[in-house]
Amino acid sequence: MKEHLTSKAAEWFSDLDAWNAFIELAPLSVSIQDLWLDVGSRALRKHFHDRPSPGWDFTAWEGYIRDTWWFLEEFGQDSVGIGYGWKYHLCLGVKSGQRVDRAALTERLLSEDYRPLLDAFGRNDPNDFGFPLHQYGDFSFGTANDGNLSEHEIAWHAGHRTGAFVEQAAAKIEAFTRNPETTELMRRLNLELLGRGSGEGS
Amino acid sequence: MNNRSSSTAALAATRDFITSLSDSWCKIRQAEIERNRKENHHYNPLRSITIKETDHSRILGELLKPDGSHGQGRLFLDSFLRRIGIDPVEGKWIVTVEQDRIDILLRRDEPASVVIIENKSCNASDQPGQLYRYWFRQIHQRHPGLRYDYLDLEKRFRVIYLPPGEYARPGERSVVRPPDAAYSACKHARLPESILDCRSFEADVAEWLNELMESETGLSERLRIFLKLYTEIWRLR
Repeated sequence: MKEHLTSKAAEWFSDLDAWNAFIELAPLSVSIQDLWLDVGSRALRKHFHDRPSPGWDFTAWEGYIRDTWWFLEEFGQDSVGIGYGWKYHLCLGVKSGQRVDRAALTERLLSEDYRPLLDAFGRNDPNDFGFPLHQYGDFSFGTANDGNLSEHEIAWHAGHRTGAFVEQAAAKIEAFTRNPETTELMRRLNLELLGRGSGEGS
Repeated sequence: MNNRSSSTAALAATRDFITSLSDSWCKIRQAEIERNRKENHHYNPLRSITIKETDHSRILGELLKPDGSHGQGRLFLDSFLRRIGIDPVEGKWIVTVEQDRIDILLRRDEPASVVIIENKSCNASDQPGQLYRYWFRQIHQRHPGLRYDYLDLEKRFRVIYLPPGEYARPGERSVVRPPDAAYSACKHARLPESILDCRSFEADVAEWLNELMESETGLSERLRIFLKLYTEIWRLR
């Protein structure tokens, strides 16, 4: 299959200028994706800046323009929160610091008391990032891959359908930050867990 | 649309795109080369060298000093103070760079004012208790009677956190009280939130200098060129 497609594609480059242009453009694909994600992320952050959720704040996650973390103001950014990391992987848990016992957090989230948090989060995809809840690609833009968009598809929509992208990305966060029940549960979770970690601030 | 026809359409779109490459992309590229030949807008030697955090502090500090080598007196200082909302800006300000571990410190006796700038231009990690210590030594100890809920007063006392991009906040460990005995008697368990001012090189420093370049027609070409090259490194990352 690959060999067949390769020979077909090769036929299209009978023109040297087209071939040179292709060689020049191909390595730019990651930079182009990052540029589109920057557009989406700036719009998403502006949304939360203009329409803050009471009791919540957000910060650039590790200084990257594309990653953002939301946390309850009273507990600070090393508490249990929610955010987009690694270019729009939705993560719930602790992003940094040793104030929270991660194992205890996972245990709590699985208990019936915190069921509404799981419901608000939606689909939980496996991950290697160390977060108890994680989701990737669950956006819908009326395309064949809706619900399981790849990184380059998410990037394209962030840059070209920014309004719809922000609406969906913000809704996933606001399911926590603008909902009194989930906000209160996140608060309770932090009260129960903070100080049980092993490091600073404990 | 079934998989086969969808795949055929995608292949056709790709073929059309490739056919257009020699025309559209090559034209864009040629126009860009021509523009750069005339305007040299790709040329910025500051992007080719590593500017360390301390270098950025010295560049900014030098601009902010009323007696700086730029020869513009208080132009940069006053416009910066106005931009961050200090009112009034008049009075004698002392500007120090890289002293007592503080990147840039602006201090005025009357009315009493202190602006601490923590430069994170290279995204260096926040150190434990870093901002708390700076605030404690430069503001809390020198002005123990400050009421942090009194907005007009606190406006003149700031800890500015200055990373490259917007919306970055200092890490928790930087703002909480260090465990050292020297701080144990302080009633503030963390840096007062009202005194923390999160800004960025991209949205604040670059904007500030760009606005100055637009409004101050009297700036020399030499200064203007440097400011343009310097602001570009924050805007075109």
